[in-house]
Amino acid sequence: MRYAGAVSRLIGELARLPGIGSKTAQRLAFFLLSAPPEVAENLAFAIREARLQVRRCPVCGNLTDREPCAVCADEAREKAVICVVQDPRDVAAIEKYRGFKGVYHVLHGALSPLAGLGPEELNIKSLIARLENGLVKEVILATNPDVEGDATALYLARLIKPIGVTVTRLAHGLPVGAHLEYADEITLGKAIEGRREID
Amino acid sequence: MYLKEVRINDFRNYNNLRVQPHRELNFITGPNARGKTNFLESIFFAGLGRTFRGHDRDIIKWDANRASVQAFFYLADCTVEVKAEIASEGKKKILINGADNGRQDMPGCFGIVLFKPDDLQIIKGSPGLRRDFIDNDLGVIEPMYRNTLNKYRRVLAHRNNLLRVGGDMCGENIEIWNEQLYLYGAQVLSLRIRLLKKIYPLVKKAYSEISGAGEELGMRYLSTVKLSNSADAEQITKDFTAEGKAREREELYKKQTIIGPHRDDLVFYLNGKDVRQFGSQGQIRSVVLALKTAQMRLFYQDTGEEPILLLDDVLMELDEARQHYLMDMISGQIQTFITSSTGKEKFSGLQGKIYLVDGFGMKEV
Ligand SMILES: Nc1ncnc2c1ncn2[C@@H]1O[C@H](COP(=O)(O)OP(=O)(O)O)[C@@H](O)[C@H]1O
Ligand SMILES: [Mg+2]
Ligand SMILES: [Zn+2]
Repeated sequence: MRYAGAVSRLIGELARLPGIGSKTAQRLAFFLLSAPPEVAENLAFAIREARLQVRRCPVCGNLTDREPCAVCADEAREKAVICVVQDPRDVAAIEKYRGFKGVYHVLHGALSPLAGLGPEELNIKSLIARLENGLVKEVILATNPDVEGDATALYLARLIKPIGVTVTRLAHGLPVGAHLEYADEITLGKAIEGRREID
Repeated sequence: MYLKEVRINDFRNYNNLRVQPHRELNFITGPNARGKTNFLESIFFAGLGRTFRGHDRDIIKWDANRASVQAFFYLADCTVEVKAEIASEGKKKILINGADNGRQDMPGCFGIVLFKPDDLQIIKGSPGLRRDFIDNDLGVIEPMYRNTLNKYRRVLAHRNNLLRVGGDMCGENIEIWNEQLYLYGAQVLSLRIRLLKKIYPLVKKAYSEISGAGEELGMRYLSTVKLSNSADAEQITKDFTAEGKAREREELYKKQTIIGPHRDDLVFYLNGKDVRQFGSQGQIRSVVLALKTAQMRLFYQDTGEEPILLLDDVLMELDEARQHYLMDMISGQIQTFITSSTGKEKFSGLQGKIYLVDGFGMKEV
């Protein structure tokens, strides 16, 4: 069945979201069109505002609505320890665990020649810049425990070690192939406490 | 182990089928292209979580959007229920006794041994077919094999991509992938050597049973990596690393990874002569039959359970003597599913069930 232009455009835009197939997109579209107008308007407004206000923190690269982000601005966080992750969702996962008092650096991806992602495409230059003032004592590499995450960790370790900063890798207490965002707090805590220095 | 019951939904040309096979022999007959192989494929899918022909998605009935097979295996003195499903986007779900095992293939250690006509190609066909035999048919008995192989393949794909694209930074970026290539490659090699060492005496024995005395079967793993006579993964990592470094310039020039388990081969000899070049049709059949026999015995040796045997259109292709050998071996021990469009009369006197497949379903006759 084909729908009027505006409807099919809405379905098309919804179907571009991750995890949404065409059937779900239709369901969402018809929900939005049959609910009171405020529902759709509030959603549209929330999306627009979030998109306008949220950007990358100039220090750590995490998504934020203020500069620098809440973690980077927090006096109580230990600026000497930086935990490097692939994705903003990984920051959320580690923050839930509360045991970590350092700060973050978000790469926005991992090395993946198949996906056309090289070092230039990742948020790496600003990480190296953060290490130059000599205040950082340890960088924890918390990229995913899969081949791309491991390659990225190795690349960063080779880049950072000559600067004289200790580089550690999360202990593989995480199940094989598991991503940080799915790890529960206990395994995550163990992985952070059991981290090892890379040589 | 054996299959007590299988329920099939929207799988190939079956809409809804429920079969309680015989504990020993199941002979499935009917005209061509009506669903005999499809039925064997459903058992294979429940046991191993994948198909043996084409893409997994192809098993979904053309007018449906998911296929599912529910199988009740009797194993280690209890019944294990496996539910394997695939949806049209390609997403698979495998439940064992109702629990998600979090894996998309190899649900467990369900021993399914399949023997199909094109297995004769294993001996003379391309090296890839022999690697597939090791990776798929033997690999199931090593719990870490599939995972390690997948990691190796992924690293290899990334590395080959870098080599293909080239550029000034190529050499430097390759470095980052080398470590994992050598590590996982060495693990794959070490596991392959272990598997082949286990199966070698079994293949030798089976071959002499099949062909009688006088012919000695030999088997050699030919690696593109020079190995220093050790199956130890750490030693192989060193060997692979040393040789990889030495060949890197050549790889940059050829724009691909030229050594590693993805390029290796397995060669068979009879009285010292390469079967690929000198083997007769009959000898090749015997070697393949010996391989399949050994595969079954290896599964038993490793798990204490007999596997289930699927013979797709091969039994009638073998001569009387080899048919007898096979039937003697399975008799009373191994649950077997045999498909063939002819030869029904051979089985009417034996312990077992005979099914007729007519394109709409499968009926016991
Ligand atoms: N996904 C599918 N959906 C419906 N029918 C299929 C599908 N895949 C194959 N078939 C049909 O299955 C038949 C082949 O069945 P098969 O088991 O290979 O035959 P045989 O009895 O000769 O072993 C063909 O008629 C083909 O059209
Ligand atoms: Mg067939
Ligand atoms: Zn920040």
